[in-house]
Amino acid sequence: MRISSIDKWKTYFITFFAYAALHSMRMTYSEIKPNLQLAFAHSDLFLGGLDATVYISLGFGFFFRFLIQGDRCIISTYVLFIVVASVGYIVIPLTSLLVGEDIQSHNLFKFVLPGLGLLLFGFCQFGAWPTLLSLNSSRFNIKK
Amino acid sequence: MGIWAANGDFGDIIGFGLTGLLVDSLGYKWEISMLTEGGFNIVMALMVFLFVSVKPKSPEL
Repeated sequence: MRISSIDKWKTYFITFFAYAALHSMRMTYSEIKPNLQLAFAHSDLFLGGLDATVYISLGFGFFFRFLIQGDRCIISTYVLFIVVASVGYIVIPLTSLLVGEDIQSHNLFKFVLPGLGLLLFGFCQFGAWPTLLSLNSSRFNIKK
Repeated sequence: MGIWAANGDFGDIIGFGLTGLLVDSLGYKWEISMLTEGGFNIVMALMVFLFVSVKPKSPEL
């Protein structure tokens, strides 16, 4: 089967940057953690709990991926879960910007929203894997 | 494919660099950095949805 060269390289670069965007979010979260702790007045223990939430929910996400999509490559599922992961991530800065100083006095803003946001962020990341890899490799690994 | 597999490391560099640029160099709030990354991720997901199909396209003859 012959594949259009434009289609091949377009898919290569879009899937490359799509996956890179996901990783850049993880790195940004790691880097701004001191600011996050300062703004939300979280204890070291709670901040550690938030980190654990991200990676434990990531593990659960990858485990349940098989129940949700199996090995099928479904782009709409990918978009849905990645948008939900991004929204979970965006909840934290939005809360900080919109609520301001009051964050520290309400448990909902201080604990519940960051926890739920990072839970969604971690869990829904499975949407990208292995969908993006499948999309890309289907253009390159073809036996003639 | 080997270069493609470096996407995670490339993303880490972008995330680290962009946050450093926005927060440390340009003095924006840390929230702007997270919003930028989240927005970038949504844009890339939409680009996959709009421009990538599950079945590879054959060249037009």
